Amino acid sequence: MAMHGTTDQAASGAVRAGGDEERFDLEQLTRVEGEGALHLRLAGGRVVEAHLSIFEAPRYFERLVIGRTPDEVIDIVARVCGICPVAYQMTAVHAFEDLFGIVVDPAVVALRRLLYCGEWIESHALHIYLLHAPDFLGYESGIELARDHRRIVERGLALKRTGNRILALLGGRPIHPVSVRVGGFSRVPSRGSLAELGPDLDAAVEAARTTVAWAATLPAPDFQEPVRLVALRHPQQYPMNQGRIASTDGLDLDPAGWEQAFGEEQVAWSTALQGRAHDGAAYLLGPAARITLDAAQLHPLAAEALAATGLSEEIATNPFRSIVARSVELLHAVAEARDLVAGYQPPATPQVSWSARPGQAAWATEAPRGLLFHRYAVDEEGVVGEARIVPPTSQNQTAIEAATAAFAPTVLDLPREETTNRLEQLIRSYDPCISCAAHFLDLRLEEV
Amino acid sequence: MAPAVTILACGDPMRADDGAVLAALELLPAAARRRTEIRRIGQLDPEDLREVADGRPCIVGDAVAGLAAGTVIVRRLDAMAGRTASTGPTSSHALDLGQALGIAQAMGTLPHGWFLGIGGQDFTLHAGLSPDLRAHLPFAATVLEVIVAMAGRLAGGDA
Repeated sequence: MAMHGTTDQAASGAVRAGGDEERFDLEQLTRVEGEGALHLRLAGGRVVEAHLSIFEAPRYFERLVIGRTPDEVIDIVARVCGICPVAYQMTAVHAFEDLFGIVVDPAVVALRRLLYCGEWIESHALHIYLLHAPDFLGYESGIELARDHRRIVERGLALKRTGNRILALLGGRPIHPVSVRVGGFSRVPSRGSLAELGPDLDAAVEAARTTVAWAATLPAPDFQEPVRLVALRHPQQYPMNQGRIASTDGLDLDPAGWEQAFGEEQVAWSTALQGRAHDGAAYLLGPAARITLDAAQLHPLAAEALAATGLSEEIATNPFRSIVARSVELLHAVAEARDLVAGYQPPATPQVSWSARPGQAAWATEAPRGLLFHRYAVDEEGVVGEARIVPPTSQNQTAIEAATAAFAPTVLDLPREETTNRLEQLIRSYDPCISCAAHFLDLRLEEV
Repeated sequence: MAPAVTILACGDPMRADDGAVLAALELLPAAARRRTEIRRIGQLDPEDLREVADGRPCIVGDAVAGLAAGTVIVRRLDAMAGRTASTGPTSSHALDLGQALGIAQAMGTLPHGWFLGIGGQDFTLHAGLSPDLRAHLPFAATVLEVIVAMAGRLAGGDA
């Protein structure tokens, strides 16, 4: 695929490593969040080793929250990610509320879904239009795409702006919201202020419908990589804050029970722990998993748009179609946000009072990139003594490596730059959030 | 009287020196503040630039890593468009400053104006500026005041 504009890709290419073995190194992945690289070892035209190498420094958030109260934890974990802070806040707040036996006002439940919709809208719109679409259309970046396809980029930016507005209205600001509290919110909007989102959301629904139809026309490589798909599943709603952990091979777990089926391990080539099922198999989270497992709960507009693409089945196996899955979820989020705004009645009180209980606070929610699990050990005052945070990108790494190993042989004979572009396009299909993934569980600090 | 200049103030005061521009704005004299529309935006988005009133000059202010604390740099916005910071990550979900400016430029929505960068040394999670930056903040505020005055004159405002 011809690339428009200049290229500033970091060094990449195939080198002979001795004997019949070759290496392909892509030293700096671009248009993904964080710092990562891809290293392939090849023998006889076959990939014998694929490593998604994450070299971003560990973040130590699991240590930062120790000794903190639940509300402090909620503000701290929001800092794990600039693009999905709500996911971290929601997972933590639900974990604490579940342990403490807190029941929040239904209007608070609705506002939290609206807040999560805002994050999905912002995250998905940015990824679809500015990070992933340039791959399909042959551009080096969103800047070159904007130069030639201004209206397309304007549509994406307007959608992203709608997500930002929801986050700012409910969370106090578009990045790292500050209003989420155990028991509710520190403040809630009036009906009138929320209604101001209406016109934006009307326009966003139409823009998102256009997005789905457009994304379905983007040329995707013919590539199938079936993998176990995992997502929350809820009988009445598309999964965000609630639901049980389900998989395409029949898993059914409480949202606090992630550790019963999955774990993480340290690998030498990555500062991020890698998630695996206890049987050792890779699994995939995110839009394709959710759409495959939860299509019945899509908003009617999103379900209709998905059906019109004719790609429902291919989404489950072709990672390059994730842009379509993400677009369908974008439409779901704006349509649901519009419904939530229209039906909003402020709660009697923004926040219910609560008392801490000692124990394990654990929960899983659906971040834009997939299932996010938190577990906190808390004492009778609610103070955290131990924490575990498992981001979706940690869990997706093994599946990304497997897909890369399977796909690489189909593009290794292309010119080097083209090979690099295709492999990056594949990795970007998973929308990896490397900064979120870079965490250690076993940091030990010794005071002398 | 309509403001003569829009200031898009980036940064997060909960990340120490990342709040440099917001702190400098607090030191801006009242007369200069009256000539400005100040928007606290956290992180620059192309839509922020599109929403600057037609023809009105714009100052984008942000903290800069890699400069000595309190060092002030001023660049034309169009000269920064499309450039990627050499000291920061080369890949991010968020659009970096050069990308946001570049997209706006590509779409014809980049306003005339300047980038004001204030060097910081501490971007960890806490409130309050580093002592070095705090000591140099009056200088940064003075530079900002001069740019506001200059931008106002260029815009034909009462500066």
